[in-house]
Amino acid sequence: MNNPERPGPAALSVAGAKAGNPALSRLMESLDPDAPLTLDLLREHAAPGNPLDELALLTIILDYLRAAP
Amino acid sequence: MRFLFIQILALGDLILTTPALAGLRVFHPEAGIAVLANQAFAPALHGNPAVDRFIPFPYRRLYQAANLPETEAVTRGLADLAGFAAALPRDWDRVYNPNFNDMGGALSRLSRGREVVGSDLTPGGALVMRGDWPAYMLGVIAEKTLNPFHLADLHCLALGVRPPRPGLVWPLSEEDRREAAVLLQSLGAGAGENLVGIQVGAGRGERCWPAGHFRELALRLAARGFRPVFLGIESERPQALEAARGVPGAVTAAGLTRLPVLGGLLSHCRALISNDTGTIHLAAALGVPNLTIMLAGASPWGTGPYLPGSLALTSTLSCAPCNDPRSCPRGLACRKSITPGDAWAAWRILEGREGTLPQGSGARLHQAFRTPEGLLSWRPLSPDPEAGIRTALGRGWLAALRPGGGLAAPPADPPPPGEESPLAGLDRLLTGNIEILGEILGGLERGLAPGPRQIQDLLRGEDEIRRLGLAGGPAKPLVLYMMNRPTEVEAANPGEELAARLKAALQVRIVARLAAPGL
Repeated sequence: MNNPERPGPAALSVAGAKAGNPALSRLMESLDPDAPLTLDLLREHAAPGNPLDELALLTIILDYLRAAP
Repeated sequence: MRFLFIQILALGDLILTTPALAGLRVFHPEAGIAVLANQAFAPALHGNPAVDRFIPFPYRRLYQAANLPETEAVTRGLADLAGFAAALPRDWDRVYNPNFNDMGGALSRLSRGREVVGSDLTPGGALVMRGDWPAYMLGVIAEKTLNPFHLADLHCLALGVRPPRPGLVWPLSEEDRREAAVLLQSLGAGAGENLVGIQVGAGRGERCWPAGHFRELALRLAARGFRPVFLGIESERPQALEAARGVPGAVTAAGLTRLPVLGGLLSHCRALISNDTGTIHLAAALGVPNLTIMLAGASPWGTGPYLPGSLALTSTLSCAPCNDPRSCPRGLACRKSITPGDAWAAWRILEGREGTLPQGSGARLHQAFRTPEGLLSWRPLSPDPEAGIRTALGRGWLAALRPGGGLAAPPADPPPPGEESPLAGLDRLLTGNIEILGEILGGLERGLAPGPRQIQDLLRGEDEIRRLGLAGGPAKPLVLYMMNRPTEVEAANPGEELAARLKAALQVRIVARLAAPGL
């Protein structure tokens, strides 16, 4: 279960993920709507030096949980 | 005042925070105190008078959603987290968070404390441990051997509080005891019998003593008229059944108890024999004496049973307690160095009889006691070469780090000339380093940038200090503290950063000087 690099189906776009999901819509306001929504995109957003907004903080938690035993 | 206490680690870690919570309630009777913890452990704080509000952290659900395939994790997992974040109360006056990991730091940031003690993220995204004692705790994670403080006491020191009564807190009710008695009856045992709880499993596999060893011990107990009650969660039931096999009168309750009933069961036991896992803290909170077998990275000073009189068995192997049991090159030899004979000898002492470990034993035995300062410590009942160093360092740390804050004691005298001490070399290097830092800071106050020579000398001195610390021995925990403590300061202000380095060097020199005569 715990494999951060496992492949999945093709990524949704940011706009696609936001559609019909108010929580994600608010969270992802600053992301490019046409970009595919991937972990790498989120990690880039949460990279040190970038503003620590709520999306960045939740990405840090998501990443931690994926790596947790 | 609104106070948030974040403890998202294991059940035992949560129970170990209860003295600090009780102390916080006494020091701030008017404060609203909330605890954010794994929702599965809510019963641990049920009815606790120090806690006004329990904020559940749905760890299991969030973990499962985060570990879905990537496309679902970034939608469902993130949406679940967003839901949790939306419900999380914000803008606390003070947040205490001893969880030094990225998730801990992010939770501090999400909860928006005006003041954070412990784990936090800087605006630049660096994970830091804010506060003197939390920075000390970080060193303990990296180097346990010379730590003289129990985690339950470290929480109190970090917050500058003392509980009104020493000890852990567990909300045992009469109903829990009744339900446990009914369970015992259904298993063919009576609550009034000579019951001894035995916990064969542990949250971390490397901390498990072999089930066969527990079985041997249980056979001896049964032969003396005790009735072993094997405890544990459902996944530990196979180990418990293996250990109970063929033991006359043994009952296996592993996998049959909810947390409150586990508390009820323990309250019917005369004692608990266990690996290092959450159950020992629950038993200690109920005043049930413990004999704990502490393997791999476990150390009684940090996480042993917090109850005077309890006993802890550790390995005499030079690598114990270790920092990285998952890559043990000796195949977790510590699990075999403590034998059932050692545990039986310890049990006899726990019963109040005279005794020692068998000749040639590969184990060490310590007994918990409370120091005059009200802290829990461990007295060696078998040779312990580090006992003197640990005690001396403890005195030094208590003088140098002020509970709840920063530098306390004035610098102690330097060691007399010619006196040889393992900390004398560190003292000399620190003194040089403190002098240079003082010069640089004095220059900055007058508007003068540090010269290249000063910077070179400072870096060379720090490098020597680091090398001395990493070589091991009593200087190591001091150097680790020195490296950890100033990191919380934002690099944007060099004066502030240098002042933090100076303060840490001064603190560590106090520890070195106070500890040196005790070595």
